[in-house]
Amino acid sequence: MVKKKISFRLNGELREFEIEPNEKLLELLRRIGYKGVKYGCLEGMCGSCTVIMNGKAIASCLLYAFQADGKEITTIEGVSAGFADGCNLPNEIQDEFIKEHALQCGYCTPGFIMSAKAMFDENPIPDDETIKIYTDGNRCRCTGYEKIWSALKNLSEKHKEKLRR
Amino acid sequence: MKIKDFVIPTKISEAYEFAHSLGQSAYYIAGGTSAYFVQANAEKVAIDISKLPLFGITAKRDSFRIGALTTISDIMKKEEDGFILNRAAKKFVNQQIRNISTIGGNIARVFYWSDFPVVLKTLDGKIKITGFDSKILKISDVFHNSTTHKEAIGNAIIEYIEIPRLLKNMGFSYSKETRISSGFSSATVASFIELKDNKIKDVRITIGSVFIFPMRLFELENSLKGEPADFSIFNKINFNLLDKYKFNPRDGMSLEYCKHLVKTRIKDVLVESLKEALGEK
Amino acid sequence: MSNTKEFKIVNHFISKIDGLPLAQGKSLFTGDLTPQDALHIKILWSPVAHAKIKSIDISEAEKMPGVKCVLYYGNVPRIPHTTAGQGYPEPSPYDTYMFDNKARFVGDRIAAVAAETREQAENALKKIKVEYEILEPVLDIDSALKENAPIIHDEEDSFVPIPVPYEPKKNIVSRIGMEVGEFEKALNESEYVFDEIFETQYVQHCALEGYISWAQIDSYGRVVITTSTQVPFHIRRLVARTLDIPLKRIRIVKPRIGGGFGSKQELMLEDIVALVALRTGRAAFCALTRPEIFRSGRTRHPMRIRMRCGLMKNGVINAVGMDIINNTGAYGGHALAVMSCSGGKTLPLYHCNNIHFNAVAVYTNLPVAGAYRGYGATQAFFALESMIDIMAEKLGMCPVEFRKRNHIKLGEGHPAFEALGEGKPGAPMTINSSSLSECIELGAKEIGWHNRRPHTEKSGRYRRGLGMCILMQGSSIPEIDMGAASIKMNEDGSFNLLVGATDVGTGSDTILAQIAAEELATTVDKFIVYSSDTDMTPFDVGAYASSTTYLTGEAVRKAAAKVKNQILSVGAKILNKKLEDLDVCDSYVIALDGSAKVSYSEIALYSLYERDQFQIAAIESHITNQSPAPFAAHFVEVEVDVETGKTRVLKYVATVDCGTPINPKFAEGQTEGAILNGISFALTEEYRFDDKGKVINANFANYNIFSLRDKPEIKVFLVPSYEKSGPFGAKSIGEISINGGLPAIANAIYNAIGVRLYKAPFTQERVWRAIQKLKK
Ligand SMILES: Cc1cc2nc3c(=O)[nH]c(=O)nc-3n(C[C@H](O)[C@H](O)[C@H](O)COP(=O)(O)OP(=O)(O)OC[C@H]3O[C@@H](n4cnc5c(N)ncnc54)[C@H](O)[C@@H]3O)c2cc1C
Repeated sequence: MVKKKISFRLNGELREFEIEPNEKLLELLRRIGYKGVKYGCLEGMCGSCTVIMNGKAIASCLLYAFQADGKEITTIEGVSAGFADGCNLPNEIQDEFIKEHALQCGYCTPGFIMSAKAMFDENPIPDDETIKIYTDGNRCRCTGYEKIWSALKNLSEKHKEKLRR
Repeated sequence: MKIKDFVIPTKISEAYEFAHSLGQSAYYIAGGTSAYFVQANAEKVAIDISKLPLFGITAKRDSFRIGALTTISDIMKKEEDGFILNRAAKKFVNQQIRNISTIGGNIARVFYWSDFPVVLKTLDGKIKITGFDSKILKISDVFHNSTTHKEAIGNAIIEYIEIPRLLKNMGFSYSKETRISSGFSSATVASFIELKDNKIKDVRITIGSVFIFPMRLFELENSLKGEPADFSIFNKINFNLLDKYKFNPRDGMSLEYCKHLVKTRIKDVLVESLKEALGEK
Repeated sequence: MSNTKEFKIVNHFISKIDGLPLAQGKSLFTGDLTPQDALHIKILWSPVAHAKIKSIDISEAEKMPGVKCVLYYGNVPRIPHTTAGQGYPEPSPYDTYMFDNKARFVGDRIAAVAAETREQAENALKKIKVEYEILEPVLDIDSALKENAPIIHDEEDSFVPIPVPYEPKKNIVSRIGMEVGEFEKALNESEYVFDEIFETQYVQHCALEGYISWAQIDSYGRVVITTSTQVPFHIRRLVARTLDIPLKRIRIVKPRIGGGFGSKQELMLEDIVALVALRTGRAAFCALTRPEIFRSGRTRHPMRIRMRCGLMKNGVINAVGMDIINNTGAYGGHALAVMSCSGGKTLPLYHCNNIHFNAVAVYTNLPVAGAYRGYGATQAFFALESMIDIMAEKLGMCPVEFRKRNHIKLGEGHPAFEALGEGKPGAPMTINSSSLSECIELGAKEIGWHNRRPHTEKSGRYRRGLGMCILMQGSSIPEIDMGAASIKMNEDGSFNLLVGATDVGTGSDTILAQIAAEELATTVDKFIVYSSDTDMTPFDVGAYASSTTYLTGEAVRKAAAKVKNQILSVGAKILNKKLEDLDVCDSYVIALDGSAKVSYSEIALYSLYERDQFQIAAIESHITNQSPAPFAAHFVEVEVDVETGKTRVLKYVATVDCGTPINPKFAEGQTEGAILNGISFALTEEYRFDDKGKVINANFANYNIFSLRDKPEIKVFLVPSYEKSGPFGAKSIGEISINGGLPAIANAIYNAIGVRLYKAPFTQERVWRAIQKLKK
């Protein structure tokens, strides 16, 4: 099979990749070490593999790697509030998930956080309906979503508070 | 589907020429989400058309023009008086797929459960298709049945669709039957009503998913045209008109229930459409 | 609430100790740790439900590019075993072979190929030539039990390792039953007699991380298996048996697990990856795709349950009878224990002197059932708690009142505890902790029960209804399960806590650290927790039977208490005080009179470097002779569209007694997750089959589990009691709340429209049909 070169910006850095035409973006990302992008169903229905492409949450298991050519991709590895002492610091969504106990096994969590990030980047104060719509592609079997729901609502509230001040 | 190579053209003519020369093995990729449903061992050359200039929703006085590469999520977010495609977009699978799926891709290849073919057939309007030359056709002609659809589009590229703006005397409603919000439709029903002088001037009803290709219910529509704009008329609908169609029940439903469900939803969407047309919404 | 003591660490929320790396997507799961050069294994699954394999030709597949190893029945050990991850000897038939010359369901293992790439493995699979002699498939329990039914397990060498009935020639996997009092007589003498049949469907756990395992031969020639499992120690034992290699040669490593819910209480891929590694010397990994998981993975036992009850006009339940036919699919793992729980975890909930329980498990040529959260109680509660509502209605009594009058109370025992065990008799037990009555009160208040009106007063197209149920479960399997823990102290006053217990996402690593910290009067951040690695940690049966907090938790507490004593004795030496004048507090040993103190790190340094050096450390294990029941009351409001039958859950309230919640937010989280699973179990989830026994909706697009968008309002209230036999008063919480969805929703639908549903799930067509029947 022919190998081809594409390039895209991955977590802020413009990089070139050698890919097989049939390779999915999920496969490429995991192959080069981005293991936070999880394999769940390979049909775009569970959200474990969610990454952000040009500001939008997408299912990297459905996308061919070449479709990312020229785009900007952010994975969970690119989400942080800085770096200290050898470790990435959690950003506010990660922080809120931990504080609200919005994760149990943690397998769906990176994908959920990417969906939430795409939502908040676009709309810092989403209403209930918006939260539901922007996360409807993420499945979690542990939490029953109740604490994910409250984590996301808390963040929306916090952003609202911030704006008020 | 197995992609053995890909090209990324930037001009429509270029893309079409690729497709033409590759013939059977060509596969346009807009969002690419349909690949999941294509036979696993089919070998294809992908023509990534996502860089063609076919984006965006343009509002005109009586209509909206929607570029074929507009994603379902962009349609969902578009809020403007008389723009109603967002209602269906909200019910389209899930956010991750809405963000990559394009409307062009949704209507270029029609699965029985596809959402927008049902909506567009109900709203009607125009569609621009470009191969070696361009043509602007009526949506109702292109989507008349699977054969007309195939003939009209073939290997050509859908550039845009144009749908009417919903005016004050009009109403539209859309129902998609699923077990969960992101499930595949087991019965899709859409209706449009236009009133004039307190009478039903025009009405269109389309059913999807239970048929291989979305179907307009012309006879049923005709039986309602000219009737007063009164909810009671829907109690008199002659549903026997549906008996001649071959229903394909989905999702484990029985034929009897499937028919019952479709009839109930037809009434439901008609009631909602009339409400909107009467300004009761 | 009365009994909850003042704790510093326990009964407080502490965030997951592994929360941050999980939220950052760090490489923590089995598939993240696979070596780059591992061989890819793909499995050939049976396309037919029932067939003899006349011949297999693997010669072409072996010659395909990249192929390193092909496994099939002709070249692997033929050793009967069970895949069920249970205590030894298992109460499950040894009716499974690594690969066999027979296919028993669509999705049964036929062969496996290991190659350099996935694609090469897939291509090679296509070259395996199999000739099937198709046999008549058995696709439901009635056909299985028919005389002259095709025999699914006609092999001669399968057996059960314990003395229980096993009649494979009749497709019967096991039987279990009990009689208390004089059931038939009491039934006949009852003023009202009820006889109804309930049925539950095939469903799956849907852990987001599927089945995945990989193996490697280490420098010493041992087989190291990294795997997504709930039962590492059982897996070690099962792999040793299946491959006939010494147990000592196997190490099982359990990294973070992406959910289990019972699905991973099972040998799934570990034997295959291990054998490929042994045959090739290469690392080898295997991960199932979602459709493979649906077809070949484990499921919940579908059951048909006949409930017969006798009731007196004064509200006394005179007789309760439960007859179960349990469909275990093609292999019999867990079947007996699941049925035992169907009776043992439900029948004790109500006072009754005349009880009949009889359950039989049958083979069919359908997907294999196994452990699933709730473990038989889920199915039985649908029957029992629907029946309780039916009886209350007959009396014209409010279902809440009827339950209050009849449910088991503090200090009471029940004959069913003793009569039903898992392969051996159960343990007699009295209820030593219960806040069930308060649970019922609080739940009724929160859902607005006083506003409940009978269905006869409802009209219109969309009708709302309220329903409820009460529930119990157990906490570990008495006299069978064992958990162990070891704690060792480091010079900075930190501790290594090693447990065999398996955190599958439940948060047990955190909770066990909380228990240790409470006992040791220190904080959770002082603990380095390492769990379930068969080379490193003490034994534990694993994550099942709602046992970890209650059982392993007590082992941890006991180990911590021992370590505490060692700390105190070193402290006494340093401070030159008598032991009885000292205590521990905030990571110090303190003199009770306040005159002196010494920190844990000083104590550790002293013990390691200064005088009479020794390692402050302890190991403890725990078994239990009882299985204290957590209790719960669930309340739900639904809305039914009488035109289409479509049912929506509007609000769900659960009140739960888990003793002391070690970590209240975790306990809520367990409950919320179980509830939502229970709701979609009741409304949307089901396997659909074609007429040849193949699952046709084997993916998330067609098998419908809820998203956040589908979630109704869920409110959970913990109503603690204090269970003296558990660590700091704790009982279990993991399973109980999955049992509520079916009965509570069925009861609510009845209250909305006067229609009773006997068959799950309550799809819109089923509800609509029930309405049509009522109209006639
Ligand atoms: C899990 C899952 C669930 C789904 N659920 C739904 C659902 O609920 N409802 C629904 O309607 N769909 C659903 N889909 C189907 C799919 O996402 C949609 O059909 C989508 O709109 C296709 O858009 P796309 O841009 O991804 O198309 P692509 O996959 O890129 O293309 C689809 C087809 O159209 C052709 N094509 C694309 N653009 C053009 C163009 N401009 N001109 C000519 N031909 C073109 C391509 O050659 C191809 O044959 C689902 C898909 C998945 C994977």
